[in-house]
Amino acid sequence: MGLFRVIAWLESKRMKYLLILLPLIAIGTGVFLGIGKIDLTNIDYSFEYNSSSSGGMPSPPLSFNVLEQVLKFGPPIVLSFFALMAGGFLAVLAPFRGDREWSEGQFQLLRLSKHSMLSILLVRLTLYVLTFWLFATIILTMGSIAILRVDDDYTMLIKDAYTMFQIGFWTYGPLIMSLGIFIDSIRTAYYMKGSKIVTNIIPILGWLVIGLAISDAFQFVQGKLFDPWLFTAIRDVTLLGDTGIPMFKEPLLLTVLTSFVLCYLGSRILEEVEA
Amino acid sequence: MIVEFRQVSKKYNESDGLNPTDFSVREGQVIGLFGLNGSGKTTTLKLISGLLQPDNGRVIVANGTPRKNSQQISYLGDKMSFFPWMTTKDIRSFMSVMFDGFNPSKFDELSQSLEVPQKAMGQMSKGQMQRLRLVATMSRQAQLYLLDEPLSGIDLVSRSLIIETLIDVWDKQSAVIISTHEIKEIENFFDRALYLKAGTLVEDVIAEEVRKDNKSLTDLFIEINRDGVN
Repeated sequence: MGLFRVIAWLESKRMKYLLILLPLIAIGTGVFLGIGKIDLTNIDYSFEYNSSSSGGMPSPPLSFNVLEQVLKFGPPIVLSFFALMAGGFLAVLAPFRGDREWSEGQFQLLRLSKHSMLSILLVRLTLYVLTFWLFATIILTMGSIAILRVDDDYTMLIKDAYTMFQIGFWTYGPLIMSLGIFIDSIRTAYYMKGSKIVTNIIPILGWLVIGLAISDAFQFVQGKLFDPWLFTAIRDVTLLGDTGIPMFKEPLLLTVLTSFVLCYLGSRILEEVEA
Repeated sequence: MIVEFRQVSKKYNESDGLNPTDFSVREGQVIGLFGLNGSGKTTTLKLISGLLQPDNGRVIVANGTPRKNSQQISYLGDKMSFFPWMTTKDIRSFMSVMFDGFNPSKFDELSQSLEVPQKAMGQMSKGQMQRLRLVATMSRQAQLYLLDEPLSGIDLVSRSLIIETLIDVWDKQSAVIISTHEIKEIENFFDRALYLKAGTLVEDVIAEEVRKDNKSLTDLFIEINRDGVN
């Protein structure tokens, strides 16, 4: 427990400016969703594409149903996904061993402590996962409140969305975040070897991936997320779960094992990098 | 024997590092590791601490590898520091959790003796920071203390007092290796001296014997390095 407390304290100090973004995003989301203020039923969704361009096929009007669904369900799902990706790459954007940690030798101090690098990285991973699970849950809850204010018939869909979020988060969240930790270790190794190109390019790639992920998430929401088959499938899975069939245990186990391996490899790199 | 260095070598490139070296350290000794900048002092201490792995040879600390017995070594590295936002109180808590054998009451006692202020590291002067690092290092119960340039940033007047205080609280069942090129003010505290020159151990002397010849460890240092770095 002592190590958990110390690492939580160090990480909160190291990443305070990035962590401040989380409540700001949450507050922004609340304002965007208009919790307690805006009645979404008064919004007119019936706008169309301009089809006056010469020679081209006229674009069909947007489906009212899909657009309504996106407006209602999109923000919580997309922002939850964003939370996952941002959490994963936070380790890359705020590296465990930056220039300062190296030049002032703070990393050496941790390296010589009684705790192994593996245990330190596993604690970091647990902290990231819990922080972003809490953040994404808050966002999703705010989205749900907004939806219920519009129409309380959506209670079942919200339950499905929560189930989908939990499955998605615990299957992919630790994987993405441990990958971030692993990339950070490689970055440290290259930093030590003096290859500035690699160390500079990794954060840029991290932002690019986040941008692409958000773009993909929007397309996913618009195109597939609200297809009835998906919700039916989730309900079926839940029912199977109730009968004791471990439908999601295998992916979760695989995630835990892969995350452990990534942290182990990252810790080995960090332990050997000095030599 | 607390430390055994058997044909240990480490090279960063063709010229820097440490050539094959042998020496051993017994408990109860205060050893000076002397040499000019780049002579291999820090490399030697990092090899003993386990931060570096030798290219060849074997380092044994407390009958095991440095990594296995890392908690038997209390190391003050040349660049090793606490995070700048940490206060003296934070460092006390941090050390208690992260290192075996840390004695909080010894930390308090030494902090008071060496007048370490109760504020954040980032707000301290270089000398105050160095005192705090020394206090944290010497507040651990270890078999071996490695101090790399412990007097760096500390004014001339305080140097002798600080080393005297630290040696006073040092557990005589352990050993201390102090790497420095500022020998004069503290040379009376050493039992033995190892002189490094361009990565080679050129002299291993008992301080008392040097003094019997009406010489000082500083004289020997100057004699060895008269022609500069090779």
